Amino acid sequence: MKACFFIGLFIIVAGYFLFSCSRRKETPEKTVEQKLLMQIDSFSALTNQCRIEALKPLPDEKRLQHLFKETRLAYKKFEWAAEYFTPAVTRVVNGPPVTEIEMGGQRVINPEGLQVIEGFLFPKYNPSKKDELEKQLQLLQTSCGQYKAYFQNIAIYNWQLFDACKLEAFRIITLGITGFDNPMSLNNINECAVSLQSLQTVLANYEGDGNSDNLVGNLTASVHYLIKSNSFNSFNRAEFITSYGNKITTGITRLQKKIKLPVVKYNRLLNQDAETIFNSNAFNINAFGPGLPYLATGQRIALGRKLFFDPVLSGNQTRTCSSCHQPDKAFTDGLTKNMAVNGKQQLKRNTPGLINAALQPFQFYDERVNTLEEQVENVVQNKDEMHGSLQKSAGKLWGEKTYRFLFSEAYPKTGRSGIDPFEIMNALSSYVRSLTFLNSRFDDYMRGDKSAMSVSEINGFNLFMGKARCGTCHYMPLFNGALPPDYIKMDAEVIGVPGNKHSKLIDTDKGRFNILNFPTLKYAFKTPTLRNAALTAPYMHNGVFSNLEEVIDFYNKGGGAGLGIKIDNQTLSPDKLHLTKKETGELIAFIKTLNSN
Amino acid sequence: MKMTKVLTQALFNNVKISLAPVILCLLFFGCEPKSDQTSFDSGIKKVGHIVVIYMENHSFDNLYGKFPGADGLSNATRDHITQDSAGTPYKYLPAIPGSSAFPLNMPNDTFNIDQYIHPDKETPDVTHLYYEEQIQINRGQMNKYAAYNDKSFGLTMGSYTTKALPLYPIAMQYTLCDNFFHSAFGGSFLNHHWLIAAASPVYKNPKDTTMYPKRDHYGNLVGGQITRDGFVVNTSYSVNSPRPKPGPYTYTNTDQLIPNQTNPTIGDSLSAHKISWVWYSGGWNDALAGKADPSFQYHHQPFVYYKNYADSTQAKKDHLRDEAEFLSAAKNGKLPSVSFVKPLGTYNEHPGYSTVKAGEDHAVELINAVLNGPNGKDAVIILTYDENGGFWDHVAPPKLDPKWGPGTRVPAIIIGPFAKKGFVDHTQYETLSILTFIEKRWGLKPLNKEDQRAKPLTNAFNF
Repeated sequence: MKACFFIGLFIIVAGYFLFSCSRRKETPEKTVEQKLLMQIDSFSALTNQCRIEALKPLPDEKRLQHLFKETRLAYKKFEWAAEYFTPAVTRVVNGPPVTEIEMGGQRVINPEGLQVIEGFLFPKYNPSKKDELEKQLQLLQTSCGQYKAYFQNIAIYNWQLFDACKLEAFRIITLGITGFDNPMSLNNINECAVSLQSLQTVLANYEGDGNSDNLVGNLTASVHYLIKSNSFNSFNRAEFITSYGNKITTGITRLQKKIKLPVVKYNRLLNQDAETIFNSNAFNINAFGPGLPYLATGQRIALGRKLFFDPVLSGNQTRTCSSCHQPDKAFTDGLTKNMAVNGKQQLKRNTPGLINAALQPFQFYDERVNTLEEQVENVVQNKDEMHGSLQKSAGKLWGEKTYRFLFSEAYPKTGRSGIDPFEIMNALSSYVRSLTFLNSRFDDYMRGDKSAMSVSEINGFNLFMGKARCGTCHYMPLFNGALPPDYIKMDAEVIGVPGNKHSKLIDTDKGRFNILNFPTLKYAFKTPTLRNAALTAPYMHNGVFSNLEEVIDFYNKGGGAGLGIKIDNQTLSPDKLHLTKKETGELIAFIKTLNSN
Repeated sequence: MKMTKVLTQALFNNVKISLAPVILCLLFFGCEPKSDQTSFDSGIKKVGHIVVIYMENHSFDNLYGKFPGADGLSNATRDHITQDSAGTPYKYLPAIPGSSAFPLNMPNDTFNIDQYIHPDKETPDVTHLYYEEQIQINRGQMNKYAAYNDKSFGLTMGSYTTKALPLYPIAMQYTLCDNFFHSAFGGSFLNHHWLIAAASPVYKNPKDTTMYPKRDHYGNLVGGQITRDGFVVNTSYSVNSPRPKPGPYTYTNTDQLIPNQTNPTIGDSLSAHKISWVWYSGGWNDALAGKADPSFQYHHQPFVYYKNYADSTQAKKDHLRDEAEFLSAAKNGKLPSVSFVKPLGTYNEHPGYSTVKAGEDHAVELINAVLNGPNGKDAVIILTYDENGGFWDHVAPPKLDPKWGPGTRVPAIIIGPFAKKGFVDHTQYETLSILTFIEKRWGLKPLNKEDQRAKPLTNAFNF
């Protein structure tokens, strides 16, 4: 009886232990969450060490700079998750060192975090910023608490983890290798290596699930490549992207498919199923459109094309969209500024191109509207540009048999008794959306055709993404100011463009400040795309520079501030770039590879 | 016993704990409170200070849908959850056009916003207007919230992780009301007026008829600012200052400004009985000085619309003050008998320009300022939300007044030494319950039949 009791007891105890052991086996997501918490603790400890050093009466500059670099590296270990899951905290930790205005001016975000701190410590420690430095380090500590509160409370899904890792890989390819977020300490190559190492650790959890593309191996190789080439200026970015970066994003995409993770689809500019950022279908032309009922269909594009070349939309029936946006000039007009529709004075700004305009979250140099539809409405009804009325045009078009048919076909509805002005806006926008061309020699090269670019052009690309600092505002591969990999924000920069070529006075156009009355936005203009730039001279919002040489010369000298123009809010560094003549030539050669075929 | 249930569930959920202390807790807290009614009528006189913190735009399920012991998401039926589009259920929750903030293939169901948009990030706004909310409620079917949300569509069905909310520990510690409804259909403008006057502002025969609602393609009245019978129901601005600059999103001509209102307010009643009171507003001084913070909300200042508090009156100077003065008064034990606290836009939790995190962190700061100050010992803090902000909730509001409401359920937390501890109060209340509570405390007459009908938070205290 006693024996039976003990045997029974043994079975219960053994069963309990077996059961609890099997329960202890954690999912990869849980392992990742725990790792993240440890990484946040390490980051927190380093910010604290920085703070201790900063609080000393005479901080050691070298030690402070070293600790800062270590702190950034600690952040980069979990950047993939921080950016994806906690973007607002991350803006405090590693946001841009400029004031941001959001929500139509209802929200002002002051510069905070690592990039602000970098300015206090590099190139030399600035003792006058001691109090501010301490405040910023304190903010980082608070942010660590917020990170932990999130990752302790919110479960991570496996599909999110893959999504976040892939976006981080895109972030590294487009921003990390340019020194985008550490322009003074320039430790970006090491930072990229650390970030990729983290992706490797995360994705290795799924290796046994069918990782036949050797994703983990490619990640290891890319980390080695980065560590080996640790030099900002000489780092071969073209080789890194084509030999490593593209393989990583392809590997993540394929592994996700292979192990059949659920796909939660989002409306993004960068398609979720794009294997690389250079795929011909990587970008969704309808992402910034008005949604499903207004997709750019073939019929709408054809109708929009017809309207584009028809003067019916202008008030005096003399001007078409193509009067300024001429197809043979990459949809610009070759003029400094075109004339107003009355022919009496110049328009306020240089005519922007339309190719790839659909890939921007904001339209116009001053970013005053979000959609192409609103852009069309603005231009048609602007008294200087077309001085028309969409309402009246709708009536007129309904009276014409061909248009009546085309609108009815493009926008089928029962009981139609006229044309909705929005349909005109959408048809024209659909045509502009169809002008999306990511088919340059540069694209061919990045898709694997090594013969598509010459050595000099590749050198130009490496300069563009490195020493010349172009890629920190004109983000590859769209080369506009839409910030990858989310493409929701679009930079408006203050570069200090003069009123005329030889003037020491800034152009009087205040740009975005005219739309949002904040001092930091004075003279701020949208960063336009450089695709087809070789075909769209003259340059800048006022057409002040006649050719690319003049533009590069302007940047080489530190923009307006570098040229001695009085401006107190320039967002471009006033430092000279020290580009040689050969380098300038290579840069221009590269920019020419961005012409659409 | 309810209190016991809440505490034990919370302990199981949050703390690894052995059985013995649980049993001790059960024994300790297991006693029934005394008769609520007796203790309420006499006990309320112990209250020296009432502080109303008026947050913005969340339904009960949106924030407290997973609160232990509360009527939350687990009680929602499929009929209430499934969102309907013109008589047919959506296959997927409708996505937000032109935005990457919301997935395209979300099942027609509730979902956790934290998995898609972190609470420290501004979500898009959700439609919350006078006529639209009545359609969203759809005679209690609660199934038109996504269809009548042209700002963010399916987002209405999202909810936050309750236990991660900054106010969660306070809700756990004190009383959370889970049957509390915002009093008037629609948005902030109207509900702020109901909070102080239990009535809608009037503007008969406005010159500018664009302020009237229109009919949508289903024949429903939508939008507009003024009903055809002259009640101002959606955001409009006062003839008094501060008011925003004219513009396409504010007002385009002065005929659209609301004339001074003359109906009685709780402020009038309190003043008449020489009971001190102040409406504290974040960013008030800057707004008055003409340099308003970008997030300052002019229509969140209801007293500004009233003749008794019009420009140049002494009452305006005495009773409409800056939130900074509230913090200082709380710290120094100089709080008036009744304080209304309206945080600045950035800190009010309103989707679109504030965040749950920023708003609730600020609310915790306000609450602690009172509790840790000299007036904390006899204070009652009522934190609630002006309305649901367009967010879905599974509980059909009671049908009390077909013209005015109440609208969708919102959270309300009763805090302070007299509030029941670790308690979920299922009693039916509404925004006007705050008015009746104030009136009851100081023996004031109701302003009208609307606040007369509301229950004055009777079950939330252990005096």
